[in-house]
Amino acid sequence: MKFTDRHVVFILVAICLSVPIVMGISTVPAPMKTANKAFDYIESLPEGDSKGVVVALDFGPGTSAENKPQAKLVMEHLMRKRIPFAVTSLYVLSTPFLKDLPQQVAKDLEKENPSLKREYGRDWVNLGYFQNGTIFLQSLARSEDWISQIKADVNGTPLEQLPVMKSFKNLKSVSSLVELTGLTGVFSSWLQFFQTTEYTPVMIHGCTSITIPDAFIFFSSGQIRGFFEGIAGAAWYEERIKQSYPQRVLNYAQSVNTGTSFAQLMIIFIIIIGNIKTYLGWRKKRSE
Amino acid sequence: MINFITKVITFIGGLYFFLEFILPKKFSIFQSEIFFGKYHDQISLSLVLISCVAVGLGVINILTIHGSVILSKKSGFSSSLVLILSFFFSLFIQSASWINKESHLSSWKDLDAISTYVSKAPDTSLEKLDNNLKIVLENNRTPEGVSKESYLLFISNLRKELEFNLNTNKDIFPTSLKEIISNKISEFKNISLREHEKMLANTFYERSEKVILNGLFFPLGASMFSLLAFYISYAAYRSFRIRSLEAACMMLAALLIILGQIPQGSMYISESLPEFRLWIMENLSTPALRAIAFGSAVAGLSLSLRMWLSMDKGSFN
Repeated sequence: MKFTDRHVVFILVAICLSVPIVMGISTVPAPMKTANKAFDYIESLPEGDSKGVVVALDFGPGTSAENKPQAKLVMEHLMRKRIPFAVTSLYVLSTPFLKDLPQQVAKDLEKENPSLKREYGRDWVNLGYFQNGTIFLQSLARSEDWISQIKADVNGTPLEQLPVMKSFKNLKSVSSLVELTGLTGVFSSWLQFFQTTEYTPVMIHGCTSITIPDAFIFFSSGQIRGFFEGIAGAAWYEERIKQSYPQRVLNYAQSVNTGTSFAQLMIIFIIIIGNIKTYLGWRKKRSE
Repeated sequence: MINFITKVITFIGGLYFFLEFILPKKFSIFQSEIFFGKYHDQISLSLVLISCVAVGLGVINILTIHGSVILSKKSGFSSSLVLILSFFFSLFIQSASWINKESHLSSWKDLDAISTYVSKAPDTSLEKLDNNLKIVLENNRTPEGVSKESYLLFISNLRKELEFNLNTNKDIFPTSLKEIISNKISEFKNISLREHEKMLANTFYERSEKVILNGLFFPLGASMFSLLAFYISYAAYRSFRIRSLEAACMMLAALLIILGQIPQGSMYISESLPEFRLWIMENLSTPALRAIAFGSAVAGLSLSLRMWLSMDKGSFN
């Protein structure tokens, strides 16, 4: 097999990405105004707020590398502040995340400090996947009684049995929506339809690096309060959580961000090499 | 005739959803009150039905295309065979696992009904609850995941508590009693379900479902997406050449954006790089993208109008 430039680039990318993740190396991320706004908003919610937060996990395995840490960090922050939340999705591939992520975060928190024990049904609820996104969101926003509309959680438990549902009577009982996705269509469905003429919950968004420019449109218009700019935004949010809770030992986003930052530096480096190569080839051709 | 009916249904459907969105919930015409969208939830269910039909259509499509490739042994028939076998295998496993879970959940119906009754019952009818609990005992249907003895013990304890509170502890506020009973049932159910879920997780169907989803589908999906990192890096190396002023501007913007969002930029080059990056995003990228979004929204509107009025030639001709 001939060893070509392509192989060199692939190997370099693999090394840059995997070494920090495998070795758990993490550097202090670059500050992000957008993540700061998201953090400050959630931090401003009163501890043990009676109003709930809807966390929409609209991502599958494809974008989980960026959206999963974002989801874990928001859930961690909400659990630390004992703010009740409901996880749901309009994207079928996210169903395993709806169940696993809150459980994993609750477990991690309990491991860090047994007094931070959080329970399903009391601190969070899994409403599951909903079909027909736009239509469902319209009727959910208008509904006066979510319990009788949704009826049961993902396990089939009637919602009236879950104490957490006291914070999810209808749209007005929800303080905010955290929507995490790489799909701009799903994001705009939530943005357009999860509101009524009288009330619009505050929206926090988590996007992938590719959709950052799209999210900026709604950030500068004030439609979203703050957002996670891919994994870099998640890493800065994690830094803010660390600053507020110094005893925290978890690492959800910063290692991955360090890995991708080395890969990005490497891309700059190989672009420069590619240009030098082209320039030398062009000079050689001209001298001939 | 069929074309005409399809066009009429498309028009009425579009008109309904358009009016439902723009009209207020309640309005009056000629002194009569109209609740437009009163049956919106029921009408919306028709879309769920259409999605179900689409699933069936997809299955028929896969079977027809790949089935014919297998039967005629055309090139690539082995891939088609793998696809069909994987499809049936995962369909079987997922269905079996779902039936398993559903049968387990339905065995808890009696207790769920009691809990729902407690939360919805008017305060005066709490005495009837004891009768309901008696019926549950007579029904003798032990939910899955709990032994008969502990279930009967739990119900009788619940009855005792209820009788005690209703007869002796007259001062108790009915809503507090409701909450006590509701909490007791949900606590019992949560503990039993947790234990049973652990047991269920070890069954063949559950383990196979885990292998299909967590062991194959999710890692393969993530791998497919992560390949992009390699191809984009190589594409950047191959084709990002600074041959013009525009290319130089693009390279400079990309460089500033990258350096502004990675830790090394603010650590080793300049602390103001993240601010500069933000300025580019907010003042250069966003207006341009907003203009594109407006353009595509107008295009989307005209496309929707064409579909609504069945003006697209390809649809019915």
